[in-house]
Amino acid sequence: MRSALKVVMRSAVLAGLLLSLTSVSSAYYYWIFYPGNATSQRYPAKFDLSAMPDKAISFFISDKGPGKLVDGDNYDALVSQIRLAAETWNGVATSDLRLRFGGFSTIGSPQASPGIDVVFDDDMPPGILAQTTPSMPKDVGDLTKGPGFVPILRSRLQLRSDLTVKGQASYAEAFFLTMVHEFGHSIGLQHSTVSATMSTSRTRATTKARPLSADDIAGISFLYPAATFAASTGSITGKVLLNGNAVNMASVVALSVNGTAIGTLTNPDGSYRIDGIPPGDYYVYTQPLPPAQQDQGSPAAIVPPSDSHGGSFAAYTGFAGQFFPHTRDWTQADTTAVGPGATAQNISFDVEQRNGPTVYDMNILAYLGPAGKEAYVHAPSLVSGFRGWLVFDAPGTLLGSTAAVRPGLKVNTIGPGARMEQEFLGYFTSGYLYSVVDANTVTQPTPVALAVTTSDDLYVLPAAITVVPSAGPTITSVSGSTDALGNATVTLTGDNLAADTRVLFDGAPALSVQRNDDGSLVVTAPSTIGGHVAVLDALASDGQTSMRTMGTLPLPTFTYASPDHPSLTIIPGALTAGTDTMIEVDGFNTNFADGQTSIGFGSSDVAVRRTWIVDRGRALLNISIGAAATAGLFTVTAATGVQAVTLTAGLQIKPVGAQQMSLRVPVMNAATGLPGIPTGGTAVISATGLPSNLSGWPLTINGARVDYTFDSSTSTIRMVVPGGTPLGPNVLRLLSPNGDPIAPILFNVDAPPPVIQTASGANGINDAAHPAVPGDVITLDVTRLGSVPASGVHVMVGGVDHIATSLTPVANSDVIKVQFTLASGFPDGIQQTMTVRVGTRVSAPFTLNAAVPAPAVKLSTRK
Amino acid sequence: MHQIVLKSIRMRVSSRLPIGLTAWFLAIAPVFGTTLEQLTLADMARQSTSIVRARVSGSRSAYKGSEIYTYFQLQVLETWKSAPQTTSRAATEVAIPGGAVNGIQQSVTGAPDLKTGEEYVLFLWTSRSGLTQVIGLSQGRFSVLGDRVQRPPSSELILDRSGRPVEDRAMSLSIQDLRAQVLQSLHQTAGGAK
Repeated sequence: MRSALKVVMRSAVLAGLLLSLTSVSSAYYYWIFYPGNATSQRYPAKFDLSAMPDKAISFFISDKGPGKLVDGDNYDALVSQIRLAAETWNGVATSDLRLRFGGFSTIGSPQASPGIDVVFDDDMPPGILAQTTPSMPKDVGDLTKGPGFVPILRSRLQLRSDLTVKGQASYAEAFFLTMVHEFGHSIGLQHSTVSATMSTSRTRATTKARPLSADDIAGISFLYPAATFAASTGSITGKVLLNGNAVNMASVVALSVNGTAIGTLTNPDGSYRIDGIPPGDYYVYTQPLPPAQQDQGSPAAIVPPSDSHGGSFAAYTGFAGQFFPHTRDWTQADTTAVGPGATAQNISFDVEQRNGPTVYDMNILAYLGPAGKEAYVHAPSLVSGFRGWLVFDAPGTLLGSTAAVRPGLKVNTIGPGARMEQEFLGYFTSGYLYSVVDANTVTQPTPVALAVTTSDDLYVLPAAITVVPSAGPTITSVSGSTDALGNATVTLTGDNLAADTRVLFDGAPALSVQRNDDGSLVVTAPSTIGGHVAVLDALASDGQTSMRTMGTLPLPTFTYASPDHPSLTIIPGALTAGTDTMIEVDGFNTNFADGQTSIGFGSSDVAVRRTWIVDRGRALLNISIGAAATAGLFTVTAATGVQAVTLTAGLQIKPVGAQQMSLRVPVMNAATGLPGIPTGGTAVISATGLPSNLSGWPLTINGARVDYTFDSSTSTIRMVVPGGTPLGPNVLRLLSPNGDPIAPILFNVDAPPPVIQTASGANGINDAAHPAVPGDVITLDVTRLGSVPASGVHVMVGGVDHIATSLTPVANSDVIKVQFTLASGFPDGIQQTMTVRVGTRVSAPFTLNAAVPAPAVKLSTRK
Repeated sequence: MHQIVLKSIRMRVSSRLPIGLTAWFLAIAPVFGTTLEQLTLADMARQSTSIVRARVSGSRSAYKGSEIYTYFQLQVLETWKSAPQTTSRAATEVAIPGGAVNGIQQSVTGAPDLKTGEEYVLFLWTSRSGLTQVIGLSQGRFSVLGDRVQRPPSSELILDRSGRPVEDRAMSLSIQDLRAQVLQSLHQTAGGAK
């Protein structure tokens, strides 16, 4: 392993060239590879989403479950919490990656497609609770000629089989955040240094109610960017140098006064680039990684980047932290303005040599909870007006193992969210210090960073505490009943329960939440089997949770009395590799629900493309089976809420046949390019393996013949969806006169698309003389919208997607007034093409008159 | 219960901070690396199946199931605690997760780094399947330099043979001091040691 400065010296002659090359943007951290000795371009390891249907990676839970659980815990609850942890990463709008529950699987069975395996295995020494191992090619080849990344082939997330070790209860917040963290590793994220979920738990400041920080979101979004990612966020670039020499793996963080913190690590040439920064003003600081602890193989347990010869570039930690420009006092630091799609450049640091960081890895606690039932809470939420003790420990804050506070140590808050009373800083016990903190009045949750200074060093801990406007939720009683069909209605009483409070039953969210006038909540509980005892947690929109608020009070639970012994059957039970096909899953005593039910087939070679829930006991699916899928028997799993029903060896995959023919999903609308077609619309069906002439080959919808045309050059079939075809899923089948097997598939028939009648901007006018500008509220009169919430209505203007802010029906008509705020980013020109989309139903284009304002460029501000 | 008495400070919340903080810390110990449980020296001594001072003489990588391990060959110089089948001066192997085999590499964050030719004190644990690993990923690895062990900073209190606290940020500890602590832990639990 080369020392960081040695590498820097060798690279110095390339410095001029490096600045002119576009480095792959970096933030947070990944497994990084450099081609040869060149460190100007870095290549991360990640899943190749272009090879995956619907950009989805399946994760599987081993069919050899854990051997021991904590008293009061159960296997269904554990599975639901694991699923919730994976689902957390699906909630990032600026990321294209989706994790799908592929069901239970015999881990280690050959599978050609990438995936993630969750296993329970005690073949792990004491001291390790969870371990994630991504597999990648050893020979990364010529990185400059490849796809721009090193593909993750498969990831293994290993938990202990004995989960009583360290009392790993699945309902505990620590377990949940550990799973989110480990899933983060499985998709290519390494440790972060800014109190994110991808930080080690000592500095992590996320909660079950807010499990991803801005840094986590930026991390996954950069690795798997959605189309909106780059345009909606900005970047900061610069260098970290020490006496003119580049510093490798220095942490550089953009920190806003409202607590947003996004960081990155420098390259061996000292350069850095932080992407994914929400627009705003930021302090920027640099500090070294903490030195490798006794339990770590490298600083912050981050695997350093490698080159294609297997060499690595070690982190350099011998410098003092500082804010930009060159100050340890945050009140004297400049802020840098970051705009959407813009880059603030040359935010560089000339750092000072030190032996290493003086203070690092700070752990913050407050003693909170109901009187007599308090508990120490890590990275606590403090209510506006709170004045009380904060307890913390960090290497370097005391002199050796004594109780003497390091002379010159100061701990200050950054920003207006809170204030530390310095005069109370002192030694508490067991290596901990304490001080008094005052939480100021805030109107929204405000993470507050701490600046810890000594005579010659600076350490910043983002989100050390979070100041919140009001107290967190509590659950003091639970009552409810379950009907014969297993539907459970539950009433929760407690404090600070709001209409937007989410209620979890183990890892499954309540299906509906209603707030009564007396402050109680009535919720529809998610499905599970009879006798199940679910632990409840109330999650507030400000990031607080009832588990964190309630101290040592007993956990609230609800016992289900739903029908026992759910079971599954599937039709057909045998499918062929290399085909797309429909499949029907029937459940007995199940509670399939739209948006709640995940169905998997235990193999990453079987991709669920779309699911239609017909009723609580019937689901229809389109699935794709990879041509390289291994033949064999696989377990079918249908998971709804906390209920996971399996059909062991329920699906047989047969080897791909010679000259295999298949219709391909999804069936697309020729007009919109989306997978939903109204009656009268033209459907485009792709196919593989078909002969060039389909004369005498009937095409049927639900058994009735339809006319079609076939383009053999593109192997596509076109048909007009006949009037009278039912809405929803319909069976499409191509019949070979020779009896060749061609599996049927499903396609979706939509209701007619919405129609834009009129558009108006400010003052009710919109024409060429009065174009709308970004920031204007636009009102559209729309018919045939259907029954949808505003969040389900998308308005596209000049290629820029907007979400409706309100829907107002017009009395005595079928018109709904759709309002949205016009964003920037559409192309030059007054007349913009506009459409309204609800799901796959897209209106015909309508012209909106909108002007593009002159760009305002502001790269940095000076105080 | 020890209470912090606050002089002329009016607080909205309780003025008592319980000393149960230490118990909290140990029960829900902040964890590091992959996801680890912080082990004290006594924990490692008790839970290890063997504790050796050894020099690394070579390495190879191989699959075990679907996981790749790098197996480091050890020339054992001293045995402080032995598994029944281990004898002094015997060579043995320790498996570290991660490595590269047949064109596939696996990488585990926090996995310890062992270098051929270097000397270490290793707290080892052998599973029922016969795989011997370093306890707590990197926690059970101490680098040896001369007559001292290189020990990265830890928040744990470490005492020398005279019971005096070793400086918290001490980067080195004598081998004798470490051995003495280990033996003391083993005697306290009647685990026995060579």
